Amino acid sequence: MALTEELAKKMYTDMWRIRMFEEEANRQLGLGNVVGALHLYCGEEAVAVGVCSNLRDDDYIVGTHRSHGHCLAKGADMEHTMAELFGKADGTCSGKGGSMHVADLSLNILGANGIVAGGLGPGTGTALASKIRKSDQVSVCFFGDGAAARGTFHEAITMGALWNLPVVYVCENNGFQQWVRRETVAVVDSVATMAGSYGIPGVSVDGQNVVEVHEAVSEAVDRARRGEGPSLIEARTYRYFGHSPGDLEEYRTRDEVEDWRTNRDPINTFRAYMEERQWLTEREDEEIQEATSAEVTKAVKFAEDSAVPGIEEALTDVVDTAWRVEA
Amino acid sequence: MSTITFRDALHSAIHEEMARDDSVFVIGEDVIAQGGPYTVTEGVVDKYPDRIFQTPIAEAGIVGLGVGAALAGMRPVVEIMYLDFITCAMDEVVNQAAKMRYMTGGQASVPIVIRLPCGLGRYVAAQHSQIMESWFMHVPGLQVVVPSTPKDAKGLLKTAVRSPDPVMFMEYKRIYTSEGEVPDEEFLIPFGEAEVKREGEDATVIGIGPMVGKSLEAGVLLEDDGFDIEVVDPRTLSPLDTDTICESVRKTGRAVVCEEDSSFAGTGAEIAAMIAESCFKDLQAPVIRVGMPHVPMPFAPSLADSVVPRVDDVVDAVRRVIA
Amino acid sequence: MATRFRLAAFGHTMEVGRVVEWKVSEGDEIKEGDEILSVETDKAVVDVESPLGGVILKIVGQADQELPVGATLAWIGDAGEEVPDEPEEPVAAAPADSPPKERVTPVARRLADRNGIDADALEGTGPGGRVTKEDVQNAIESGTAPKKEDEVPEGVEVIPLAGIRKVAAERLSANWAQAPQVTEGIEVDFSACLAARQDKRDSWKKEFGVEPTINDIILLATARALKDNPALNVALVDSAIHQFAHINLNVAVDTEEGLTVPVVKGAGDAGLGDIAKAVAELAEKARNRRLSPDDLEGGTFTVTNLGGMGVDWFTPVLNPPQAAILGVGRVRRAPVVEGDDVVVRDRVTFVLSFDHRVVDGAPCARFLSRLKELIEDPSSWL
Repeated sequence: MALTEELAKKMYTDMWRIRMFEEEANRQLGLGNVVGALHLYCGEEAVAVGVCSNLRDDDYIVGTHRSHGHCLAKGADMEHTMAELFGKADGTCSGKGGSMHVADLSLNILGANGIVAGGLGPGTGTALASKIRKSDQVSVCFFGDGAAARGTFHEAITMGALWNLPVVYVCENNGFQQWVRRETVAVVDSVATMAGSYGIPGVSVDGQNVVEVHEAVSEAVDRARRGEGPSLIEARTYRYFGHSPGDLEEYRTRDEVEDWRTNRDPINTFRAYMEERQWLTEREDEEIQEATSAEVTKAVKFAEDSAVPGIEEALTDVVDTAWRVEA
Repeated sequence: MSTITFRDALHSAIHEEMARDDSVFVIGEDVIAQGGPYTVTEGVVDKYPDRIFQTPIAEAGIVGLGVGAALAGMRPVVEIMYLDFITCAMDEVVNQAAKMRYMTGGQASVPIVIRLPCGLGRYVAAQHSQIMESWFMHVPGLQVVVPSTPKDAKGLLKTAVRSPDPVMFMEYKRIYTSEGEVPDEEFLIPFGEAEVKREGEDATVIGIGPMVGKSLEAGVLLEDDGFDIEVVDPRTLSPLDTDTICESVRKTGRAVVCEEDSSFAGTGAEIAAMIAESCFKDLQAPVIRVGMPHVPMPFAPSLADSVVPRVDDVVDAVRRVIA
Repeated sequence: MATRFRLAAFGHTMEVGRVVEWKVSEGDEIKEGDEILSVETDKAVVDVESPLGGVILKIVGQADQELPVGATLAWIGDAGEEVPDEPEEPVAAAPADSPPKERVTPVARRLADRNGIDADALEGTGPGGRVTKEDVQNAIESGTAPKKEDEVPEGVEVIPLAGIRKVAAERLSANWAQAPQVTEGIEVDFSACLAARQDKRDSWKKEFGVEPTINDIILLATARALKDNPALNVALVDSAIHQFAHINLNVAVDTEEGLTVPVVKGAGDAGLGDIAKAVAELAEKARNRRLSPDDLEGGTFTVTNLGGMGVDWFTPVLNPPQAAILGVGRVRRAPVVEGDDVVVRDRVTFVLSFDHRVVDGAPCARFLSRLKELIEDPSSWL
């Protein structure tokens, strides 16, 4: 999809929406309003936005444990997403999924996934469905670099490639597998090189540069939509927060984090790109940030005001109990 | 009515459902070559070449793709060549298929059927003979279906294909060639409805899968003792028709639960506990379980045949529960 | 050495195979890999190669024969070699101590008997051609079951034991089997009672609204005698003797449906009018089938009277859990020796049956004597 001024503004806004949503979620965790595991996406915004800016509403995405950004970029409603983190009845999953399982099936956001590489098979399966139905929908599987070590990565991409399925495998390589640096547990530096094993295109892009991500994915999505099969895109990125609450971050220095934040921040990088093209005035930038901040405040208010689920809800949605067949 | 084999009953169920609904498709290893090891998917490729996928040997991928396709509105019928191999795809079964509806607050439906040829067949030892029903029963969100006759096989598989939630469909290899009457007209068998396969008054024998047939044989032999047993076939283990089981036990006052799998922490254990909780005052003797000892399946035919419960084991158990 | 060549499984589900044809004959020399026979499985006809070279010594599995996987097809070896003389598979011997079995299983016979079916005439599909429950069920469902009545001698109508008759039969058998019953009898002069009844009939009718019967008079006398002999007003319940403070008399009434025994409550303190009214009411209810459970419960002693049917005397059977029952015969004119004269008097025979576990013969005899006294001199109570 061509990068127009209008699209760029939407993408810039979406990056702020993710940034501010995540920072607020972290604050709410500190306040005790959000509990459990919280894997924050700050620093990686360019990937979700660069990918989803190429997708239609009816295209599928599957996520990872760090997926709030994917959902918001694909169009998930901020209020209901925040309410889900709060464990409230109005959450996207009625408070039954939480941070690691946010999903909005109405937008074909099949959800975050708590199992590393857990989404690769199902994501490829949605592409198989599109192929059988002869629709031109495309599926995107987001996964981390850690997932490339799992067998399901190999099994899913093998079949995606075997049947030329309309799927784009997007690896968010943030350099860390929970509390260890990638280079201490991985054999190859770039996950993109693994694409060769499956006979599909593989490229590595700067995940802090939303334009670069957008363009690489645009090509891969077009290829998939034309029925020419899958691609693998590695976005080299960085997460600003630890893996999740409780991470002592002994595997990196504060200076390293500060360096990425100062010199390689995806929002700053994109702002510079837009200013260069005179696509963004200072005034517009302020307005976008103010509006986004107001949206986040509203989302928190919505989440706070939403009811806790009735305890009877713990026993529903296991299977569809209303479904019956007659003998 | 026509008399057909268990395997042909499954075969016709798949063909009928694929004809009825374009979203039904078949995926698995060797499902085109020879129509699968058990020829259940024979001929599908000729009629529906775009709806059958012969996969590499990659069970996690197969089930994973099935889950995704189901989430996207398709109805995959997955064949896992030997049930034992499902352990390679347990994440996809347990963490993905089973929990998806719940984790999404009811948004997601995963209408996947996973066909699982299981139990002792030809003598192929411990990694090709397992059963594992109770593993699946223990996972909320999975439906566990165990047909014992060609009629049940067809009616239950057709229902499974139409179910909005995942189904673990147990196919005991030893009964693929067994024959039985199957209605010629369209029919479905609802989940959670046990069938009393023989009425009797002296003891209730709950049989799982092939143990239904063995219990019926035992029933004839026990007539010589003057014992008239009732044989109840749950047909689906999850959901489990506790009402029909309890009604029978209340009538007879005695219960024997028979399965081919290991008794320890098994299907029979759950059913026995349920009976004890619900019908304790009606019981005239403790519930007895018949099952395999807690060992992997041995290879040597003499050993394998010695551990899989036989008709005699049912007869002995009934005599003990009545004595 | 001669080698056994067995039928292998050619598929995941193959259990049996049919030999289509042998392409070699006994005595032929073959090489390893030669196609020597074809076998039909449940799926296809398979050409089977010889797994070894040699001479076909003996063909065991014949064409058109259906064999289980593992069965011997042939013996292959060197020319002239002997084929070991061993059975195909060891046949499990029937256990020596298993008793000879009936052709009809006991369960099948039970079902057949309940449905009046002649199980012996059915064809059996069970092991060894035995008739099983399923065979009987199938016969019933298909309507082809031979009726057992066929065997009944001419002129006999078979009526199933059912309903009240069945309940009565079961209760009486149990009662008879459990209670050691003893019977005592006494002959009583009823003339005084008859005379009193003749005298007071009109005033009674005016006073009570009903006309007391002979049986009502006997009931009243029985209640009085019981009051004086409470040892008989007891019941044996669950290994304990229940001594009743009140006297409730079961009165046997014959109805179209059979015998019924409603209860006259509080007979110990009742007057003749009370009893006459209660009995008339109960008899009316019984005839109209309007008796309530309450009318039938709570009896402590039973009186049964066959006098109205001309019976002189009989031995009644206990009405459990009550310990005793009084049987009353007809009032009859009979010669009686009084002093040295033979005179004609009105006589009745009372027969008492009692449960000897609960009460002994002497108290029963005292009860009968007291009853005799009361009947023969009613002036104090009538």
